[in-house]
Amino acid sequence: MKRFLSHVLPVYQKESMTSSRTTRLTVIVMVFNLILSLVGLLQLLLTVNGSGYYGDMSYGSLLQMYTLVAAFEAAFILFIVPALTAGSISGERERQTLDLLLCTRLRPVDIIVGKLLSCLSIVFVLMFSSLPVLALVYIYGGISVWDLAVLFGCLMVTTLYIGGVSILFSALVKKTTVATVLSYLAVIFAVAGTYLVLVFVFHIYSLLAADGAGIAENVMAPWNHLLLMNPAVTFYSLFSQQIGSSQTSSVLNWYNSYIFTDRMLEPSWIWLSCGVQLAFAILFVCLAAYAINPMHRKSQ
Amino acid sequence: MMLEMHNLRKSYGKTEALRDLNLHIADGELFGFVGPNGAGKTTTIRILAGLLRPDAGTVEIDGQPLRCGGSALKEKIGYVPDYFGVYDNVRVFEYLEFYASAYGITGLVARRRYMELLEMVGLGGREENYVDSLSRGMKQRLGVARALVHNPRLLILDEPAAGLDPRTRQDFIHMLKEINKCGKTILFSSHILSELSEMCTDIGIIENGAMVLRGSLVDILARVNTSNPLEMRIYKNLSAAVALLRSHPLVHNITIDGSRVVAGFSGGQMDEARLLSQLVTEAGALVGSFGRQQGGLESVFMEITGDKAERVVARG
Repeated sequence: MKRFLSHVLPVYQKESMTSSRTTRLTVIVMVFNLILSLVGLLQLLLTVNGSGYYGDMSYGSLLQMYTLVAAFEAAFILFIVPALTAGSISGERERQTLDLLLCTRLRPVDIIVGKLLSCLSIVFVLMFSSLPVLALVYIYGGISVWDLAVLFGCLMVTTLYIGGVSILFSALVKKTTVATVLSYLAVIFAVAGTYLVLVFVFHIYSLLAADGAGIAENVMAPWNHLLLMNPAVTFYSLFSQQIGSSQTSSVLNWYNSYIFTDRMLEPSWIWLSCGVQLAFAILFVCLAAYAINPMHRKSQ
Repeated sequence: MMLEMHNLRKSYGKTEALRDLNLHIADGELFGFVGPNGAGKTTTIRILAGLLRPDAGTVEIDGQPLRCGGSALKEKIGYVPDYFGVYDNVRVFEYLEFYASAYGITGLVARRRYMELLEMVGLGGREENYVDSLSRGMKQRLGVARALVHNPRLLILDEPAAGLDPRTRQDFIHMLKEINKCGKTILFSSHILSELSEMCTDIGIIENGAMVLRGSLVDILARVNTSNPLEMRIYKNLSAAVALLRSHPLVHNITIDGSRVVAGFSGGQMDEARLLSQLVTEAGALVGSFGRQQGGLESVFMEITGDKAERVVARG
């Protein structure tokens, strides 16, 4: 562990130091909390105003406030992580510092992990700074500290997953702009693409069903595991378990019921999807380390 | 031996960058690596720095075979590329501290080390400056300090003085000499041959990926000088002297410019003495000066890299 830290910390410390000196991090934290505060307060206002007409307050709508704020937080992290990580290796290449790093005692994997940890620490700052907004739900209760810890755990896994794929693109392409575009395409594929693939497969099976009786439920079951790669489904599943599926379905009802099965509402789905996404994150890190290793480069 | 390379080969597609390159550099040497553009200097240096894998051949540094990723070997090499490689928003001491920590040197040891190095490279008192605010020459000095931060035994510099003004270049060369005196072996590639002749103990000339000449600077200059043309000043009986030269079996390609006569001569030092004697006694010439044209490293380079034939034809 000590050896690992001594190899990873130099890059992590340098990244944290340089990023904290720019106004970028301040702006990100400010915009992030501004949006969350607006969303949270607006939902609270609507709930309280509604109680003025009917004389009672829906407990479910208070829980929806938590879902809404947490979903915005997850969406913002999905949006910001590629921007934070897609330039990490290509930026080093553009500054001509990557070779200098590779000449040191640091291994390629140390450089990649150091960069990823730096991104993780920024996301941690975002999550920590959002606690007051998330704490609004504690005015009336309904969400435990454990629930928040699980939410933060899932956000961390998503950061590693999306950060991992962004760093991989950063290692594979020379230009930061190209790496950023590819990273956002990967996010779009993970969130929407996996779902669309299932819709496509479902329609193919429907067309192939000769008697027009529809397809059996278990035919789609193996394909549904593709959604383990989808961080949005992970959060859907998480919110369903934390506040009840009837509440989430009203918020996220754009997921079609024939794709989105009860299997995804079981607790094991969250752990399984987090495990799959972590495994992908590790795979992406290893591939990125392989890509920047000078011994595997074919050209100068 | 600090560095030994045997039959190093490297190709980029169909282009052969290195063709059985052999090189030996002794401990404490200041070795100049010369070659025209595309000769394979940077490829060689990048292989040594562990940034490129050779297709074939072996490299040993301080008796250990070079394998990329071997941290023990990376500790022995300091690499200064032909670019600066600096970060924005980083101070000079933070830059060096970062690279020191990348070699596992931290805390007070790192601080003491980079303060010593900054003094050595002439950047003492600038540790609080931002790296991107330094001049080109200062950045290059900082690059050398960075490469020395882990106290390597071999310092490899790839055209480090390119783009520096003459004064900064002189200071830079002086600094490298001082570093060499501290016991570091230095491999220095450059296009500016005059700076190599000023500082290097040994040089190697690479052409089309192969080492075509290697040795001490004194030996190389002496060897090439014997193939330089004879230059003489003849003040009396010039026509008789020229007639004698034309009839001499070892003389060729005679050029006459007033009293100055330049002639190719394929003989040795004894033959030169006999020719001088013949000019004085047989042709009755009054010879003001007589000797081989002195070639600098530039002429050695031109000679080796195949430009001489064109020059002789143009004259003769």
